[in-house]
Amino acid sequence: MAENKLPTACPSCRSALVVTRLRCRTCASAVEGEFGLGVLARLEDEEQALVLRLVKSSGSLKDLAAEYGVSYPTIRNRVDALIDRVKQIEKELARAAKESGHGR
Amino acid sequence: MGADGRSVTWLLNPFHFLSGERALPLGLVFIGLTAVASWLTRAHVDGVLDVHRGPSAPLWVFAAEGLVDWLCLGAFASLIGGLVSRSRLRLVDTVGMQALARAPQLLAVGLVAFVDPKCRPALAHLRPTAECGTLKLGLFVLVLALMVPLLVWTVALMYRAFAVACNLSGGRGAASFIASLILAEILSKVLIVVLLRPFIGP
Repeated sequence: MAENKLPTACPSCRSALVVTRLRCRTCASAVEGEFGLGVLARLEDEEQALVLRLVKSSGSLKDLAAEYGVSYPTIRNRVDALIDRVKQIEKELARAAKESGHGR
Repeated sequence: MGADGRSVTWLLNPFHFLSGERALPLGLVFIGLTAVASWLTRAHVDGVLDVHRGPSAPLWVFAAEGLVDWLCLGAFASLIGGLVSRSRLRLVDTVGMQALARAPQLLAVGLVAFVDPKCRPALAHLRPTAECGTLKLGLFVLVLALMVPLLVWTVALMYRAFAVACNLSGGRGAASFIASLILAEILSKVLIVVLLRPFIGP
């Protein structure tokens, strides 16, 4: 069965969500606290897939372009957009950490 | 992307699929074919977007016109795109894609073969003259009507080539493309007059 997609933003105010409870599937033990989601977890599914494929192709944009069936500049533009998105998330996380006083 | 979507993308933005390395040789084939068709129809491509019926000239002059037009836009697209874009550009993309973007001009010079230059005065008054009968005038108007979508298609391809190769879109992309196009149009006109006019017949 496909797992539900992890929501990363509050459906009400769009602020970043944090994980507050984790459970072991084997023994059902639960851990509660406040666990932040990393940058990668906050990317959209397509963006995460692009990161994985980029890593699997050893960072070769030419191989990645061939895999997606698009031109080199098309894939480079997607990767550039992904870089901008990662930088934006990093800024948001830094701001959220500052506001909450965690400095994480 | 569905089959229909892919077909539309191939027509309006082949650069989504074709890198500069593949667009360049394909574009050069189209520029060569356009030169031969121009030579046969005496259609001079004497500016980045211009196609005019004119005097006869050797085949190499028609080829040189196409090359000057392509290289002028390729040079300005590379220069301005390089200044405005934050991505790392490749010359083979900025220049090679502009070569393929000129492909619709092959159809344009073919259409010009059906135009009789003597019909220009008749077209101005939209009335047949002794030298330009109703049929010829109608054909002239039809060719003009067909040239408009071809011109739009050419400019759309040139813009997509610029946008993909330079990773520029929106207002910044449009403004830098228009600047490249205007500068290339001016430079190509000047170069063709200075370098090639002496070899073009009266």
